Parts: sequence; structure tokens; C-alpha cells
Amino acid sequence: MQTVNPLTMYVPIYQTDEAQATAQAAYQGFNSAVTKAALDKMAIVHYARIALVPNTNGKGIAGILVITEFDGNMNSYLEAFFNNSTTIKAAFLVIISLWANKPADFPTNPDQITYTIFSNFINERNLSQSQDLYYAYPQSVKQIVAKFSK
Amino acid sequence: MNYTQTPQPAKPELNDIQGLIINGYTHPCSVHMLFKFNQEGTNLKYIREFFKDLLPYLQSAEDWGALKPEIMLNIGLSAIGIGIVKPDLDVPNSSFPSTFKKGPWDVNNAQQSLGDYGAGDPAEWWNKKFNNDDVHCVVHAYAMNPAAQEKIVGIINDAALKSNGMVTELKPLNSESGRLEQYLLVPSDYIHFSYRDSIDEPDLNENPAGKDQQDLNNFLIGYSTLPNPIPGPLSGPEAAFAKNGCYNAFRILYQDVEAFNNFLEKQAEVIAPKIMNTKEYTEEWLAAKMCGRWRNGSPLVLSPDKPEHSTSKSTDFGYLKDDMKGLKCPFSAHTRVSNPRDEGVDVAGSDTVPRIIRRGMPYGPPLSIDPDADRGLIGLFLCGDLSSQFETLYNWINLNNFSDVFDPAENTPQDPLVANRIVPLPGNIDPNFTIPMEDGNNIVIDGPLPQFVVTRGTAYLLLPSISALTAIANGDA
Repeated sequence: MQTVNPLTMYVPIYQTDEAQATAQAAYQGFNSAVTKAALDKMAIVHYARIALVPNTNGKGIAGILVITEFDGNMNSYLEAFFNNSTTIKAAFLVIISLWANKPADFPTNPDQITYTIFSNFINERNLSQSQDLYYAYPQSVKQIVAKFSK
Repeated sequence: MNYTQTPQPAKPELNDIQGLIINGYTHPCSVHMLFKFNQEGTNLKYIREFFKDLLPYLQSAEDWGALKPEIMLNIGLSAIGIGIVKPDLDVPNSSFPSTFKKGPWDVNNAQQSLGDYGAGDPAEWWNKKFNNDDVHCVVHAYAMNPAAQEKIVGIINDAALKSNGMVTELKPLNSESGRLEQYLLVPSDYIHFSYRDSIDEPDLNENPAGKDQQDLNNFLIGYSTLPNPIPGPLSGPEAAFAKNGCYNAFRILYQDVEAFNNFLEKQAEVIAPKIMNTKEYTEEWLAAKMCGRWRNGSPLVLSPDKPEHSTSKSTDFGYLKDDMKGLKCPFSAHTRVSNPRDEGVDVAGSDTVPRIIRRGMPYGPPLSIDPDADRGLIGLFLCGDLSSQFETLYNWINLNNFSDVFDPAENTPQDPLVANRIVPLPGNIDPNFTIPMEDGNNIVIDGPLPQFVVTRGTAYLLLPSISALTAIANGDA
């Protein structure tokens, strides 16, 4: 049994100027004090980053890649963000808003994105399985932070 | 997936809800029959007939009056089962929660929370008599006496036999009948480890605007007003189908009574001198420290030194006031882990203490009658949200990392009674069981402790509404 799990989520995005600019802003704003405060409070994420994957012709952004390693399983991770962190939930909702392959009736109002819609969206786009992850240590974020705070 | 949301209704109708959800049945006999629907060349007509034959005995949550029904049943369907009987819902692409769709054997989610590894690995379930994804339907049959049980089992069996091979019963046990049959222990509310069970259940108050985790709207699909849990689906035609339903984590747990008794006996010899009491008392004391209640049901917080009749069914107590050092009830004790009450929870920013409804009963004869028999618990763990209620609590059982009463800097202890020892252990598990003592000389039982409980099988089922089951029987869209 492993206690740390991976998320590698790729979301192809709209090719409009507005969507491309929003993706750039999301990328540039991700590693900020606000994100750090939100993730520190959750104390389950070891590392997190987003990357912009370029189109094959080198012009513009094809999609957004989210890569994290977290404690617990995927469902508990997603529930934590959906229920307990407006900051991180909002970041995911921005990515969902840029998703290029939306079904016609997919809610555009973020308030209508229920936890089930949210979690199914991310689960269905996660390219990693638990067994894919190499990890050098089994300790949790909470444990490591507490240990080195002593 | 259909994303159009169904408006939230105001009030649940008891006559549309399966009785098992609201009422803890006390029928002395029950059988839990597993069925597989034929997926190849499925002829829905025959499967509908199967349901039609069962409908007259389907028990709703309405009050049955002075006389208990002599025979009655409730029905659960797995995600695959729903996909077969309701192909129009397109279950794989539906808004049913992924936990339900992927099942309790999902290596990335459920298996990690449930800790089903080793002898309890999903590959070992159901005594390998059938595949995990073969369980499409479970019929929970209840009866007032053995003759009545035979009658209701006969009715269900006949319904399957005349389905032209479309409905096949699966028999998971190596016993004579092969079925999951309740064994009536004496007293009747005890389990094989000789503890009184099912003392503390959620109140299930009908409180649509409430924020109490015990409220009915946290267990019934279509009513939740809280951000967590969120019983769903809430969008698309699947929301209409699932409304008034509830999930059942149906879990068969083998109990190694011999290993448990031997453990208590052996450890009591070592511990008795430390607590300056007899070996006989120490066995019961240790059993209580592992569970959080004495075997008669008295909570350690209210009756720290001995079991008392007056507290044997007590549920009104907490830990915050005078047991935050675990001197009465150890932090890892089973009932304290599965319901930490007011001790304080901190999990990824959440302080929610989820609840589940338990409708379990023992199976198999006791050790004294047949030492070699299979025995354990037929667990029906009902919830509105499998992930945030059932799996969360089970994860806490396996990894006691949900509260700051456990030093976050140290390795993570486990529930000494129920947890899977998970061999090989992840490097951050503390395999020992620690009993805090007043003088600071804590009693530490070196682990890993024996594997007292082994998962024999698990199925995630929806207990659909009466109207949804009627629609299946009638072939209504």
C-alpha cells in the first residue's frame, strides 16, 4: 500500500485569444503566495505545478498539464479541494472553463459544477495510476512538516 | 454524461424509500442473496420478471404497524447491475460518482482506503467462486423464523430460476448453502468477538436545512444541503433514477475469533501485573481498550474501570471534556476512530466527522459450536456518499492520521481491532497498539497485531427507491 499518489491531468483548451490569455494568466499566477497558503493549509500536497503544452506548430497553447503528488487517495484529495479550499477549487474551475471538448450541456456556471461533475472530470483526465509513481519516502506532508518543525 | 441538474426536492417520502435505510430491522433471520445478470444477449424481459416477482415483498420505510412482516426484502444494485437493467442511463458515462462506478476494488481509490491487501485483497474475495464484477444485485431477505426464511428464499430462488438463465445466484461461502445467512448469536445483538453491536446509529432526523452529519439528508440521494457529503448523482436522468436511494457498502468481514481470543489471553498475562489485576479482568480490560467499549457496550469514557448495565447502550458522551489524553479510551480504539465525536478532526482542512448507518449481522456458527467454520460479519454500511462517508472512515481505521490527538510528527497508528495490518507496511505506519496510562508508563503492545478481520468480499450497491425498482420491473424508461 502506498500513501502518496499522483495526478497528471491534461486538459486541451480553446484556441481563442481569450482562452489562451486566461491559460497564460493561470500559469503565471499559480505558484504564488495565495496558492502556497492554500496548499500549506491543506497539508496533503507534496509538490504541485501546472505547465502549458504548446501546439505542435509551436504557436499557442494546446492544453494545460497539472502535475501533483499528494497524500491519500484521489477521491479524498479531490473532496478536500472541492469542500475545503476555495482557492484551489477555483484554480481547477478555471481549467475546466477552458476545456475545449465540453459536451453541449456542460454547466458554464461554476456554481452548477457539483462535486460529482468536478471529480469525474478530473478522474477521467488523470493520466497516472498509483503504481506509476516512484516515491523516495512514505511519510506524509503533515508528518514531515511536523517532524521538522520540532 | 448529462449535466442538467434536477431541482432539489423538499421532503423525502417514506413510502418510496427502502425500509432498510431508515429502520434497523430486528428480524431474527436474514439471508443476503447475490445475483448476476446475464450480460451476453441480455433479455431484459426475464430480468424484469425477476424484479416483478420480488416487488410484493419489497419493504418500504413506512411504519408497518404492530405486526412485523413475517417475510420481506430489500434490493441493491451495483453500477454494472444498473447499467444492465437501465441501459438508457449509460452508467459508465453517467454522473454517478466515480467511486460507485469503479467499485471497491479500484486500486487507485477504494482499495487504498479500505486497506484490502494480503488475504483480504480483492483478488481473493468471495472465496474466488466468482469475479468481483459479477455481483450485480443483492437481495436482502428478512424473516421472523427459519420456516419463513425458507419461504422467502424459495420465492427469490424461484424468481431467478425462471429467468431463462438471465439471473443467476452467486453463492460465496463454502458452507452447506453457500449463502450469506445470518447466524443468531445469543444475545442476539452481539457479534462473534463477543461485543454488543449496533449501539450508536445516526439519528436520521428529517432536517432538510440541517447541518448535522446524522441528518437523513446526508444519507438519502437528492436532499443534501451541505457541501459535504453530497449524495448524488444530482444531474441527468440518473438523478431521477437514484433519488430517494442510498448507497450500501456491502462488506463481508471474516472474524478470526481464535486469533483474537488467543491474543487477549497471551497479552493479558503480560499486562495483568502492570495494571495489578487478575488475568481474567485484564482480558476484558484489553478487549475494552481495543474497542472503546466494554463487551456489554459500556463506553470507556463513562465506565472506565468496569462494564456497567446503566451505560451499556449509552451514546451521549464525548472525549473533549476529560479524555483528551486517552487515559480512559485509547485514541486508536475502534469506536473512537470510527466516531471521534468531539475530539477534533483535521483532515486536509476539514473538521467533519462523517457518519454511516450500520445494518450488520453475524454469519457462521460460533467457535464453540464449530471451530473450523467460516464466521464473521455481514456488513451493510449505508451512506449517501461512499467516498466521503464510508471510505473516509475506513481509511481512518487503517491510518489513524485524522486528528491531532495523534502526534503528526510520529508514525501513524492503526485501529487495533479492525484495521488491515497491510504487510508489507508502508514506512510511516506505527504497527504497535499503545494504551496511555495515568503514570506515564504507557502499555505498548508490539505489532503488527494479528489480522483479526479479513475482508471476504465487498460490493458497492445502490438501494434504489421503490419507484425506481418498480420502473425496472415494468420496463419503464
